Amino acid sequence: MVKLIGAALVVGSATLIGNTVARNHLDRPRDLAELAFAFAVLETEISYARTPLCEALVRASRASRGIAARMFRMAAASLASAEGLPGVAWETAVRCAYASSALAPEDRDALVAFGVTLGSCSAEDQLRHISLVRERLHASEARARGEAERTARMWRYLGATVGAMIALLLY
Amino acid sequence: MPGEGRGGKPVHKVIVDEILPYLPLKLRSAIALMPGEVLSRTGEIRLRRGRPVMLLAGDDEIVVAARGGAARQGDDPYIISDQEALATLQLMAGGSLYAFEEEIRQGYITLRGGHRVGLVGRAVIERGQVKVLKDISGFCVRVAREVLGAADSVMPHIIKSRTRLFHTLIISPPRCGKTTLLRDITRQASDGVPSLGFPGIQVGVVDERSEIAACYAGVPQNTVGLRTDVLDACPKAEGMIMLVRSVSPDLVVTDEIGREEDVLAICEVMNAGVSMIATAHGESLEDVAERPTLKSVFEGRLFERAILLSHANGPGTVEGILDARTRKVLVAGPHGDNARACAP
Repeated sequence: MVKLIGAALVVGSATLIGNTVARNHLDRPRDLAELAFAFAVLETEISYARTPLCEALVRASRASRGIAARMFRMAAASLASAEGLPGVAWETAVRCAYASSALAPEDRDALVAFGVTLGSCSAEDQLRHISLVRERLHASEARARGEAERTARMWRYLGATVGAMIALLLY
Repeated sequence: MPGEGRGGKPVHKVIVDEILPYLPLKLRSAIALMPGEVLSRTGEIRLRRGRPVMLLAGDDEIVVAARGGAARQGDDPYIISDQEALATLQLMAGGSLYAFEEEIRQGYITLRGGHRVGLVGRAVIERGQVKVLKDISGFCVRVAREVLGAADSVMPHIIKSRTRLFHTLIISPPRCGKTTLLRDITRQASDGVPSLGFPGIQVGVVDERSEIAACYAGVPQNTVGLRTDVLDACPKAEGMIMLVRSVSPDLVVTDEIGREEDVLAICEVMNAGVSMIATAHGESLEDVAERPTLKSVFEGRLFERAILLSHANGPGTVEGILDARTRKVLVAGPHGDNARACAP
């Protein structure tokens, strides 16, 4: 009986791990889409009203959800602090938000690279850089969406199968 | 008025609360260690990349020490690094250089509180015009001072009727209080002067360089009166016409006229039956009248009054008030000869 409970626990845990990894793959396209939307709001704020960065980040954060809302809110808070330089504030926010997101390292790197020009160039250049990062996010989202279903299914099966194998070996 | 800044707040408090937050932390602390007496006399803070930080307090130049406070003999001065210059620009622009593109192109940024920061650096030219200032190497932070009552002595001479002011030109060399006087005339014209039986009129201000009202995010930081509409950061000539069409002012106020298009716009404003008050750089009426672009203003006898200012008894010394058409001296200042010298 104990062995049976143990085996069930092993299979259950492995399936859970598989599902978690699978969910992570499914969450990435959603996170990327949310970020792309927040950048679109930022673009509008800069292009139409030349809204100062801190306020533009707050507005983009309010208009978006999930990781994008967190990232933009953190960047605005960091920028408003005593020694707030936009590049540093943005990088800090990206690294903090990344830790609790489904983003891939290449997404994080693209976002960090965007911060180098943030607030330190003309409106025309700033809008071009936002446009570039949005294009990258859209491309990554399209790729991630295609891969997500396939990879997620694989991880779910893998979790359950590995769990069953371990249970069999231990039995 | 040394020791008092905008709204009667002590200047040292104004510097600590409103200007130092725009400087990098280390520099902020070094200036904060300056004696209160020095800060309360400070009119300008000069930051030049790779050179010592200086405070201009009255006629004194005080160097900031590397350890903070005023440098004494043998002290190392506080030298601004490239990194600090860059950080200063970012802090002043709120991390949004794109939002201050036009101001930087014109060589200044206005901080919250109306403090103006003059910028110098390397100009990038496109089609013969400055496209942008890059490699910013110097900042001249001018502490905003509002002298309520600066126009008390001139108001009786420029009020024409209950609803009109004379078309007036204020003439002075730089740093003699032209804009301070203009701002207070604006306030008094807008709020009214009960002692002179003047009830107050609708005033439109074209503040091309944000010096008169010192708008921050569209809100005037200086007291410019309750009937005053401000068109901020708008080219003067275009702005004057826009104001006349959009807000029907009784008086249009603008600073530092000098281009041909300004003169044409002034004619339009005056022909629309609106009073006009403007300023121009110069030592005397003759100086200004000889400037090629302003010659037509005097030949056309557009302005009715001219106010001459000097630094003789400190900024804002009224050297004379003249009838600009006959050049007759109406009021002679403390150095009456200066005003008379302008008369024919």
